[in-house]
Order: sequence, then structure tokens, then C-alpha cells
Amino acid sequence: MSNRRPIGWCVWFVLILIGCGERGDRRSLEGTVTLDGASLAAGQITFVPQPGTKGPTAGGQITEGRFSIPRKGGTFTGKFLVQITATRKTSKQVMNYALDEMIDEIEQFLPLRYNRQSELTAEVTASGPNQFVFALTSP
Amino acid sequence: MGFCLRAPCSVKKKITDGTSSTVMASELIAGQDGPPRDCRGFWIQVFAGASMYTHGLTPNSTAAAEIVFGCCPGPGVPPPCVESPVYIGVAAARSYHPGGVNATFVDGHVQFKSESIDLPPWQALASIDGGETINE
Repeated sequence: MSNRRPIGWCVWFVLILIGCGERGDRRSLEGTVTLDGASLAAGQITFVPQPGTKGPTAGGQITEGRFSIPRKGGTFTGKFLVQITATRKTSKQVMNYALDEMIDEIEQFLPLRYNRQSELTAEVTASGPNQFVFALTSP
Repeated sequence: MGFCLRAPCSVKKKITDGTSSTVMASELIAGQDGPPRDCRGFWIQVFAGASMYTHGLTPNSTAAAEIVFGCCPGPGVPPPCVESPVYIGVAAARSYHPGGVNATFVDGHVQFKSESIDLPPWQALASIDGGETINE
């Protein structure tokens, strides 16, 4: 076996490290969400970069009041608008025009000030720990 | 299909910032055979999350697509989606490639866009009159 081969592997290893460097700017995000003092059983959280903040949108599922977005899918540092939604079934069935059949109706039950007209913000920092607490109230 | 969402459908001469800087379509990740039912990537169901997508989220975002009720199979089936009570949705461009998506522009050229792209330029690419320049 040629003794050059280990050097070749080292070169590849360095190239792989360089190739993945872009993700180094991302931060993991985690936290808790409560509604009227109780953990939000299920929902969705989205972080939207505000003007002046670089990088992608990110989000995650809220389960039993907690969310955790890994670094690979996280955000850059900066200021974010935060949107939180949660849905539940109503007791009705309605026509779904996309599927052309009657199915269970759902409603989004969190106030609009937490999602479509969100007043929630978060600042993601380089030093971290980027743990956020969102204490929501209804209505 | 970003530039054509509102009726009446935009015609080419209205794309004032140039057909080469306006995205027409992108890769999406199709759903799986149900049950549960999964409409993602269905051709041709003309609402966000099926044949349509939006530029509200950056490519391959970990943020969930918001698609019409009855069409998201639940949190256990990636890519992430949640159901919306209405037909207006948000669905990201998605692919299985590491790092981004291939998007087709109105002039026909295809370009790879990074999933780390800033949101404003990604949104501008979907506009027909943003006057943006592409210098990624």
C-alpha cells in the first residue's frame, strides 16, 4: 500500500470540513410555550428574520410545551418575528374543496397577535443559550 | 408557481424586472401514499402545499408548511407541515439535495438557490416587479 494514501484522506477530510463550514453560522433554538399558564400540548413555532437579520426562516414543532430546533436547521443570529399556531378539531364536518369531500373541520385557536399579526419577537445571539419562554394568554 | 398566484394571471409583459430574475417554479418534496392522506406535491391540485408553493419561507426551511386541512399527514412524516383551516397556505420550496433547491426562472433557466439565502432576496425572486439583481 502506498504511504501517500493517508495524506490523500487528510486532504479529503479538510475539504469536507470546508464544505460544511456554511452551517457554522446557524444557531440551535429551544424553549417553552405556555397558554394561560399550562404547557401548550401541540403547536408550531416559526422564526422569521426581521429587516437587518440575515439568513433563513426556521421553525419546529411544539410538543408538551417544548420546542427544539437543531443547529443544522436553525437561524443565524439577529432579531426575529416569532409566529406560534395551534389547531384543534371542531365538532363539525365541512366541505373541503381541495379534496371535494366532507372532512373534520379544524380551527386555529391562538390569538392572531401570536401568529398572523404577531407581536412576539426573539433575539438570537452568538453567545446563546438561545432558550426562549413564550407565555401566551387567551383570548 | 410564484408569479401566477393572483387572478388574472400575470402575463409575461407585466414581469417588469425581467424574466431572468423571476422564479416560476421550484423543486418540491412530494408526499407519501396514505393513509394518512398526504397532498404534498400533488399534481395538479392548485393550492399551496400541493402543486403550488410560496416564498414565505426560505428553501428547505425547518419551519412547517401551512397547508389546507385534511392534507398534512402529521408531524411524523417529514418535511414539516401543519394544517390550516383556510385555503391560503405557506409552503416552502424543498428538495432532498443538501444545501438548497433548484428553481426554474420564467426565461427557462434553472439555478440552484442556497437554503441559507436571506429571506428578502428569496421573496424578491418571486415578485414580478421587484427590480432585484441576482448576485448570490
